[in-house]
Amino acid sequence: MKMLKSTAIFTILLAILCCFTACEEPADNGKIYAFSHNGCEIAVNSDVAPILASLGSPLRSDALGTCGLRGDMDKIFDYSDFTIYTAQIDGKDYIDSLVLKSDLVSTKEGVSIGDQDAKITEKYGEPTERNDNVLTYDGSHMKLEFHLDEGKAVKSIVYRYTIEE
Amino acid sequence: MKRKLKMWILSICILLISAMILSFVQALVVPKYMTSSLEGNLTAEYYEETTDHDVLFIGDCEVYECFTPPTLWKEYGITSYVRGGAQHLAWHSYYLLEDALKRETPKVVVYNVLALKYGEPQNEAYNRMALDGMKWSRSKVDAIEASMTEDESFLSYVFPLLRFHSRWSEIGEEDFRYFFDRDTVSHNGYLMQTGIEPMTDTFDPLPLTNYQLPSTSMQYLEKMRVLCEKKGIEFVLVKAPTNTWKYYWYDEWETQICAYAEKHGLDYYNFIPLCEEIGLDWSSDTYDRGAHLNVYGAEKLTMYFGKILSEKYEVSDRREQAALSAVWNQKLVAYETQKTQGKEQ
Repeated sequence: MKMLKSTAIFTILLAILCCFTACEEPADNGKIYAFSHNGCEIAVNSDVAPILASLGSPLRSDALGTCGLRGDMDKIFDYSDFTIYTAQIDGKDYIDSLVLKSDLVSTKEGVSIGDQDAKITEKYGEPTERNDNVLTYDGSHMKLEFHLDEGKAVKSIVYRYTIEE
Repeated sequence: MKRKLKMWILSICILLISAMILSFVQALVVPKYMTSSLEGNLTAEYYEETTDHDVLFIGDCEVYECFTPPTLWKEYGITSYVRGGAQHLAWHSYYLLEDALKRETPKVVVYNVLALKYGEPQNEAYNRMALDGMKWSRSKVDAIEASMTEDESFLSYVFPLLRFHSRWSEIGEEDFRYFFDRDTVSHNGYLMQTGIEPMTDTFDPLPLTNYQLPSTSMQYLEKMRVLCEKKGIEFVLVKAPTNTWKYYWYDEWETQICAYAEKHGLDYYNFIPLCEEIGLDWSSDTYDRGAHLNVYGAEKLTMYFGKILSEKYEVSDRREQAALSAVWNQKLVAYETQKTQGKEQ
């Protein structure tokens, strides 16, 4: 009788285990660096549709599929001073990365292409991470990166969505 | 005594019936990859092979969309298999190679280097496509342990029901139709694409914060090299000719691979600068705007590389072997039929 009970309990426990396997949501520190252009705020992980409507047509754009996962399209929207890269989730395009590439635009804090690294630390403080050519500032599920040339001047600015904190 | 025996029999019966029900449910809920994400079948299809191969291709989508074994056979009499898959990371490739080399010893192993950019497990969906079809062995156990993302558990690979039970509400016709058996989706690991969607423009790739290829993936590259060396197999590195903003091959990575190849005396063929020589036309040889080659592009690349395999590595022309020819001619018919049907659509 005992064995019968144990078998029944084992079977029920296995069934319960099947039903309640779940994932945990990652934590969030709340800090987000965003870029603003002509009054339009562009932040990573936002839906790109209203942003594109506000910015107007890009100079060029492209969409590429993801191998093995048909239907998920990554897109690129190239404007004269910046480029938006998006990833698709459930049919919606979210901003994955934003790259500033011209000195005609600047970050909200006032850093633009061509500025020296000293100006970055003056505006943003010490970076979370610094290697030879990149100064990185961590935000909530995102990073703001200043890529420098050999002369320590900013050559590109990247707002990048990250899954981990 | 009799009562105890009864209990034993009853318990065993309950266990057997439970196992049967769970197996049935499991077979029903696991993805079949028959109408979408066909790549999910590539790993398992390898085991259906009845003959050995002189060339084995390993790597990510850039191998199973770039090299066509039927073309290698038709043009050069070379037997080959593409043991690649969607986002096969370096450890997937290593363990699939290890698994394959327990069954056969090819003359040449060709590895496409793009996936070396990943140093960590990326996506559970790709792990599933790469590993669920693998036969159980020490290699599969090690592959699972090396591949799991944070949210995955080893147990869910042993009992996929633990992972896929939530598909219960999505069960459709495909799950019943392919409950017992699945169609063959590849041609010796080559997944045919007959569509044409031209690449019309080029875009800058995203700048990276670190261009160093991760030590983990490079360690697995080294393991592949050593494994081939031990077995006396020529290990050749390649980079497919595709190079879009999404799947970009950075110069810094190229330098590291060239240095690695030189250090170990390996041959490395980067086909990106050879597109013109190969004859690739980006207005007709891609099905997805340049990210991957379609069958017309893949055939051009295979023809080009087949010559190298044949002349430089002296891979034999086996078309004179009657039994082998019979097998491969059947494969060729299936390949040509799908290509013709694709063209007509």
